[in-house]
Order: sequence, then C-alpha cells, then structure tokens
Amino acid sequence: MKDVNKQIEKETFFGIAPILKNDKIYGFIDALLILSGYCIATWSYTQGSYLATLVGFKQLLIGAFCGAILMLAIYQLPVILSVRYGIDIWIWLRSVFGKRGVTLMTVVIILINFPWYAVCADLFSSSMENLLKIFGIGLPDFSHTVLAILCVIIGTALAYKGLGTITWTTRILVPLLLLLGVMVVIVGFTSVPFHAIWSYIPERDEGEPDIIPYIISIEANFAFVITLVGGMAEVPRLTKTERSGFWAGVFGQGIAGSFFVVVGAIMAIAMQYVTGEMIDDPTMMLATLSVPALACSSLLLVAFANIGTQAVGSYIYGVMLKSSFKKADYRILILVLAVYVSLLCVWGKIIEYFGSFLTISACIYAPLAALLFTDFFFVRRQKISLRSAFGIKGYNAYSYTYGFNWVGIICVVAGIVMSLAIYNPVSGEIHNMLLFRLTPTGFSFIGTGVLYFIFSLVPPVRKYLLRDREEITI
Amino acid sequence: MEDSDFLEQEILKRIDEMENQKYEFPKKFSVKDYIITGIVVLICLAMVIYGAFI
Repeated sequence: MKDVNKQIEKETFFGIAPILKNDKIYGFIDALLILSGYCIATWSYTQGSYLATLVGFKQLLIGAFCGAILMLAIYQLPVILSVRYGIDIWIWLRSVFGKRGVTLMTVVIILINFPWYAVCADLFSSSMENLLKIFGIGLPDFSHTVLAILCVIIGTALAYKGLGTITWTTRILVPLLLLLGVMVVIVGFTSVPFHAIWSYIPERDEGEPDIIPYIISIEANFAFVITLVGGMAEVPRLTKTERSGFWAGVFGQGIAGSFFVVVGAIMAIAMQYVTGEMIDDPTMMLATLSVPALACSSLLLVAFANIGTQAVGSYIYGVMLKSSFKKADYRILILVLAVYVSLLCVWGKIIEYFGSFLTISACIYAPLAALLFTDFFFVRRQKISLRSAFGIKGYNAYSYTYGFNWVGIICVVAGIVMSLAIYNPVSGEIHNMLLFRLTPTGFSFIGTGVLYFIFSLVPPVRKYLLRDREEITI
Repeated sequence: MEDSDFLEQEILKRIDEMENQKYEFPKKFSVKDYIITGIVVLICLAMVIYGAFI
C-alpha cells in the first residue's frame, strides 16, 4: 500500500515543483503526439454522432475543426506561462482564486468532468451487448448497467496499480484507437455512396430555423474542447519553447481530436443510411457494414480503449486530488471516484443528456478559462509571485480572505449565470437570441473576462488583487 | 526532514535558479507568434460564420 502512495507522492511532487529549462524534454512533435493521444477517446464518437443530429456534414466539418481551433487558440494562450515558469495553471490560479479557492475549484472540476467516464463506460456496455447480439446471445435489461460498472471496476483496478500500469496501458491504447479510427473511416466511405455522407443533412422539425441547431453545434464544439482546460498545462510545462507548447495543444486537440469526432459522425451517418438508425457504436457499425469478424476485432479495440481511458482518468484525477489533499491515500481517492462514476452509470441517462452535460460542464470551464486568460495577460501582465503561488512560508500575497479570492469566485458564479441566462441546456430553451449567437460558452468566456478586468480597474479591488507586485522577482 | 519541508526547499531552490541573471528561459512567444495566432483565429471565425450560411 505504501509503495504506490510513495510513487504517487513522487509524481505529485514532480507535478508541483517548477520544471527548469534543463528538465524540459518535449519538442513540438513529441508534445503534439502526446496531446493528440490524450484527447482521443471513444467519447469522440458520441460527440460526432450528436453533432450529426444537429447539422449537415459540411457544417459539421467546419464546426468540428474551425470551431474547435478557434476556441483552443484563444483559451490556450496562457499555456505559455506553463512553459515559461515550468508550472501548472493551477499554481497560477492560486492568484485568481486563493489557495483554498483553488482546492474548491479542483473538486468542482472533477465533479463535472468525471461524467465523461460514465460516457466511456456506457459505450463499453453498448459495444459488449451489441457484439453478443450479433452472435445471437441476448442479455437482460439490467446487464447494461452491470457491464458499465464492470468497465469502471477494471479501469479503477488498473489505476490502483499506479503509474507503471498506466504507462503500459496508454502505449497500447493510443495506437489501437488510431487503428480503430482508420478502420471506421475506410468502412464508412466504402460501404455507402460518397454523396450519402458528403451531402447529408439531418431531418429537422418543420419551421425550425436552421441557425439554431448550427449555433448549438458550435456550442457543442466549444464546450467539447474547453473541457480540456483543467489539464492543458501538464505536457506544455515540459516543452522546450512557448511556441511548441502552445501549438502542440491547439493542433493536437483541434486536429487529431476533431478528426475522431468527424469519424464518429461518419459512422453515425453511414449507419443511418444503411439501417435507418443513427448508431455511434463502432462494433455495430463494423458488423453491419463489413463482416462480423471485424466486429470481433472492434470488441478488443473498443473494450480496451474504454477500460484504458477509465484507468487514465482515474489516475489523472486521483493525482490531482492528492495534490490538494496531501494526507489522503491515493487508492481511497480513486475508489471514491469509482463510486461516483458508478452512480452515474446506475442513473443511466448520461448519453440521453449528453448535449446538456456538455453545456453544463462548459458553464464552469468557460469562466475558469476566461479568468486565467484575463489575469495572465491584462491584470497580472504575465508576472506572478512564485513564492506566494507555491505557499512558501512568509509569502502570503495570495492568501486573500481566509484562502479565498472572492473577486475570482464571484466572477466564476457570474460566468455561470451568464451562460444560463441566455440558454437552458436541460430544456433547450433560448432566453436571448442575440447573445445566443455568441454561444453560451463564448458569451460566458467573453463576459467573465470583461467583468474580471473591470473589477481589476476599481482601485480597492485592484489593491486586493495585486498585493503581489512587490514580490515579483522574475 | 518532513516531506513538505523537503518540497518547499526544492521549490525555493528552483525559484532561486530562475531568478539568477544567467538562467535562460525557454524561447518566448514572439510578436510574430501572436500575429500568426490572430490570423488563425480570424480565419476560423470567418469559417464558422460562413458555415451558418451554407
């Protein structure tokens, strides 16, 4: 028990202490490959098939690539601080939220991010059921939940073993996912006429303006990429130049990640053309459009991919929680996470509410990204007191009010309200069509950033925020 | 020495090194990089707006 905790503590240590120039190991290509692998998961297929219910293929391509890169190129700019100072964004964010405020935000981020792993578990379950159906084996209704929880259990068990097992898992996971993606594209485009995919337009309710589903699709693309904000600096802090750290993230996620979203859409459109039903399960697709034997190979790929993603997610968030709760046992933390995602599997509606889930999670991520952007470029102007940020004894510039920077926290709340004020992600009701054109995520990002900047201009607030200026040494 | 003291000492050591005049920071994001980023943003924004009309 102690060995794994020691290993995690060492990992946490290296995740916290600044990375100096000589320790930086990644060039642009290395960082690009790692970040591409990080955002490739089978949930991309769910995103792709969701987008295909909203817009035609051409609009889908524009949204998936250009929409994603637009949001990434803006919100990921502060990643240059991670390269420059060798720190994670969560160290900088202590200046925005205070030390206790950052702990609070970490827990909130995990709570809203972990449903992604329920999506993975659901996909694993659907794939297993569909595969067994192909071979004439039917399962009772409750088996869907049981299989989903099985995915969670196996993934957590891998994470339980620590870094070595995770590294081995990802080395197999990423190439398998790439292989699966290529297989799906080949089968998709060769089994249905090209125009069936290229000219695809979804059925719409009569009288519904085309612009609304298009804006919702752009919102879904913005929300999909902004969920990466929490972990955006882990790899760039190890890159050799600010340029490589930034572009590796933007292109790794905006091109490789978006490619798999488009793959999911191709799969769903091809399946609808052949069967009349939009299905994003690669097992079903490969079985229906090619040969059942290929479906068996997808079993291995999808099963391993989802279990592997579960394991990596448990590990990443377990380490993130451990850096905030140092005395907690890593293994207990990942068991808590496993219980949480299992409860979501039991609820069983994460796929049904996928679009709502994206926008609800973006309600938090958009203000977080906006505060980091505004604070880095306009309030602190790229200068931070590293000693206060690391909580070194005697340096308390970011202690604020009992560990909370209330200006930052108020801005997060305001950002959430801004998003919900224009669009209800659960009911789909649009409250303000003019601002809806900016998308809820876009409006929340812009609005939170502007609000924080305006607050920083008010003299007493400015004094509260910038008590670190005398400690700046770099 | 407790782990937390060791961590603090190591962090201070690394900050001291960064404060050294001779420390070479990673190559900075230049004006050219900001301009290229701005162009990419504008092109993507234009495409997203264009997408609304196709």
